[in-house]
Amino acid sequence: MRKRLIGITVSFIVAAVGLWFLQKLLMPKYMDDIVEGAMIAEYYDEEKNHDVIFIGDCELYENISPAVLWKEYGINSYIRGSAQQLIWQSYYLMEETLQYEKPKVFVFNVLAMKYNSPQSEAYNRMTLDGMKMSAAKIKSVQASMTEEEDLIDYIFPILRYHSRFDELGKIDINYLFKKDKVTFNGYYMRVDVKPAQNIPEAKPLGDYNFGDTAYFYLDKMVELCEKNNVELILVKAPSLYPHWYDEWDKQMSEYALDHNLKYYNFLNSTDDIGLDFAKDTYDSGLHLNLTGAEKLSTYFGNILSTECDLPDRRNDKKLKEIWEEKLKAYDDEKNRQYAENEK
Amino acid sequence: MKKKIFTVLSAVVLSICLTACGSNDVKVIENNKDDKASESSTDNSGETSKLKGYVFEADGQNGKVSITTEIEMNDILKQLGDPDNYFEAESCAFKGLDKTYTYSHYEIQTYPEDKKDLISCILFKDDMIKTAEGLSIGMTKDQMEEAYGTDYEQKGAMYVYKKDSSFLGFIIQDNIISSIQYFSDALEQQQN
Amino acid sequence: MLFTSFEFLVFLAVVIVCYYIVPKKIQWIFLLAAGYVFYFIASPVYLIYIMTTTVSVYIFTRIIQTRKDTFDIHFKKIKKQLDRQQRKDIKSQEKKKEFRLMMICLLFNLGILAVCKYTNFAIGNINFLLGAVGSSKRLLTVNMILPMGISFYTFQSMGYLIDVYRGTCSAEKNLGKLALFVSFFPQLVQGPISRFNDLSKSLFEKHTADYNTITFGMQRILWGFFKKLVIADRLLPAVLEICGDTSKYQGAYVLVGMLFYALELYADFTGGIDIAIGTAQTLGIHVTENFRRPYFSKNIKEYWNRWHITMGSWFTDYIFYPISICKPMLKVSKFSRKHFGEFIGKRVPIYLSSFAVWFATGVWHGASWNFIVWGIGNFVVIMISQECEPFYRWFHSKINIKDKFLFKLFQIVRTVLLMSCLRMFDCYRDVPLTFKMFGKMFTGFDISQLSVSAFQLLGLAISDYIILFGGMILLVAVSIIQRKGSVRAKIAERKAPVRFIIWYALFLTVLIFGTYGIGYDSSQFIYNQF
Repeated sequence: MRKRLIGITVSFIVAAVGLWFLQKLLMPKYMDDIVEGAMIAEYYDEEKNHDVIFIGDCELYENISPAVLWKEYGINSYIRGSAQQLIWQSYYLMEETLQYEKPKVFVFNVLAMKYNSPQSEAYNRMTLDGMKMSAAKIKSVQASMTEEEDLIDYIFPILRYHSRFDELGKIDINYLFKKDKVTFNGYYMRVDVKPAQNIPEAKPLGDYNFGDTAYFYLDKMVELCEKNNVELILVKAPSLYPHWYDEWDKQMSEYALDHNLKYYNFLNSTDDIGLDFAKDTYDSGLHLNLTGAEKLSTYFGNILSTECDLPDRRNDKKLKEIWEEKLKAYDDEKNRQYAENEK
Repeated sequence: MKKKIFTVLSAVVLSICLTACGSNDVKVIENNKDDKASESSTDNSGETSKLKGYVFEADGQNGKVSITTEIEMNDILKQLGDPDNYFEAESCAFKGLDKTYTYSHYEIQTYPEDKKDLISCILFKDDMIKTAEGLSIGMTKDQMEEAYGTDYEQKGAMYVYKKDSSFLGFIIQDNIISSIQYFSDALEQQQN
Repeated sequence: MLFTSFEFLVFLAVVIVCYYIVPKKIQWIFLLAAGYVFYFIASPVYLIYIMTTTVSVYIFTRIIQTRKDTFDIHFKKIKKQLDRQQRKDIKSQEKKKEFRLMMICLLFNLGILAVCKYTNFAIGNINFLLGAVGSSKRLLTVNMILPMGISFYTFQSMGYLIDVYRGTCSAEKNLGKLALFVSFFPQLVQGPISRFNDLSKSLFEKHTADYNTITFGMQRILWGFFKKLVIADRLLPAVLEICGDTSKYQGAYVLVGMLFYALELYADFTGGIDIAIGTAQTLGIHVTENFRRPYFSKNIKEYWNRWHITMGSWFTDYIFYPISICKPMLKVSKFSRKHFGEFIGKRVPIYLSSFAVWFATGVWHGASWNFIVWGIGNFVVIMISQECEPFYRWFHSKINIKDKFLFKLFQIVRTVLLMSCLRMFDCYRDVPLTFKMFGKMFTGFDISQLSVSAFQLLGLAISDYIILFGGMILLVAVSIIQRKGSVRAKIAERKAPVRFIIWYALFLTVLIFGTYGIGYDSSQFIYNQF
């Protein structure tokens, strides 16, 4: 009997290890073209004592450069961004972040308010798979699932990715255990230029009111930040498309006023920022490129350090060391991309 | 013999009574076989034979062009000719572009799926064009109800009619139609 | 709850654990509850149907049994005072009364089945006739509920009813136990159709958790998952594609579709039955086998003794025999012998009863002419092969190839092809189309159609074909080994590491190559629909 028990236990351990390994192998690595899927997981390797944490979609991770915030204002910041991050995903990322550290400020980009229901499995995966297992993750999955999805597929991703067996390539072996960094403190760098032009007129909507679910999670964010004594700042990045309606802007302004929050719509201050949409965007005005993002970061950094009273931490020895290394990588990548662009 | 008939009858009546009580409200278990069959059957009513749902008739280079949502833009583009304005937006993270083609009186938007561009939306820009059922911007809500009935779903100022998997939306302000848009499921979800 | 769903696995795990924890006395009650929960999850309304069948069968079998018992006592007493003729009369009078009772219950339950399943089919046919005679009136089709597994549990309980009437089994006194027999969840959705005498032995027994029984059961479930998920569901898109677009896929494609469907149906149906029987086995319950390597059959008759065995034997026992020995049939037989001579006279009853069986088999499979024609097709083929029997005998007496391997192989291939042809009725929309496509297979046959790229257009990638090919080899290999006894028993004799590697490999194969989850349309088991 005892022998059999040992046998069973050993078999289970071997089986579990095998499964874990296979799961690792089959999960997408997001290392070649869709690097956005690798962003969320990068946060866990960081030294966690940030002043500001940005949480939101591409309008943050492509438009704000924490490197500039550090260089110019000594603000230690990080972007927990992912593609089409929905507001409940942002909320649960906030919850999760608070398990690790307590920043002074959370910045949330309000474009996500336009989505009131789960959207797409592929985007869900890119935000959720990178999260470590936690209660927040489970809750986020439950809020995000489209009809075709199941919680169990998130707990055991092999159930979702088993069909990748015929797509496996070198990349899956190379990045089996160790991944490259794809962002600079969450910032996704692009230096190419594609001027903004021909942006179509905004399509009239029947109903400009944001949905109940969106507001529900915005309320929860406010509550969470109050409880933890973190300031919540709402921003709308200066992206020209998708269109940000005046009716939407009004709702956000009123909401900020009602809840005593700061709300900055950078679309209104493109001139002050110095944005030139003929040069500062890499995809016709959807996202800023490096020059644009650095301009916006300089502008916003000023606001953060003056209006939010964030200290200049450039004298912090430990942080300085970390950032020196980061800035070097940042500049290297910048030069690499410029060089590649010129070819 | 009589007894036998009685037996048979009573059994049949009993069983019918029992089965009849539970019908309608419960979902029908559909036979897969029927699905297979219906997939292959084609609808052949009228001229716009192959297009399902609400169809918009645009002036093309060589006569009328029938357009609806969820069909491939490539074919339509050839018939309509070059647009006045063209805009493309990269979908976040994924390869493929959301495209917008603007013509003088309307605008067509597409989304990428399996290397194809499918039409997600047709938007009227002015009152120079009409829907296939004769409605144009500037007409009244009554005229809309006359043409399409009252079986709509209202979302704010938007009145949405559904046919197959296509939607036709009218935005009505002060009883006047201010916008007409054809859109597909793909877009419908986003706006919720 | 589909057998291959995650929900079912959880349900099963809970049931197995609880089953062996609860006091042995109430194990059967727990199973009954589990069955009802299983049914309830599918739809609460279904419960009314299965309970109605259960209660009606219980009442009538009890009445019949009581009558039988009292009659026996009474008869024993008065037996001596009666002469032979009187005894016979009394007995047959009693039998008649019991027969009437049985018929009420039988018609009542078959009535439910008929109304649920065939109302719209009947309406469709009436409408067709109305159209044919030029009337513009049409009946509206109705939304009928089709309770899950109704064909299976109705047949199972009717078999029991008839057995009680015949005296081959005595009526169960405990309503709960009968309810468990009718609603035993592993076989509720797609069979096998069990007999009371077979199933009741282990169903109501007390079971102690036994390592071998449970692991064997689980291994069988895993094998079922392999057949269903790795083979059947992977192949399904290609079958649907070929059968769905008849203008595009003609000629050689029809043949491909036919063969694909043969493999798909086999993997789907036997896989489902493996899961059902395996599930029962984990609970220590023995369910009758439903298949014995049917694709190794050498003729159609043998095939039907090895494919869907429990259904075939049901039809034989409860339709074929009663019809062939009933009084009107004897009269017909007498009449035809007299008028048409011995040769035809001998055949008439067999032909008529066989026809009835195959017609019923067709109708049972579904409310459509496709199935009816399919059933009759089987009847025709079986009768022809029976008539050719003397010729075969003569042939084999002249040429001695009967035991040659190649000839056997030829017979097997011929049988598979023949059955696959008949099954085309299953694939195409209607009967005329099926005939048309069958013709196309010969008139438009062009082997050059079937290029590698053509196969890829069917919705399957090269990798899918590789997996299917590998899976098929495994299926055949297992079937061959199985001829000499249980494969699981053979594996169990091996050393632990070998056992582990075999089962773990199968598990991983299902996990990775299984067609489930997003990106794959999870499909119903084909036989859940009957």
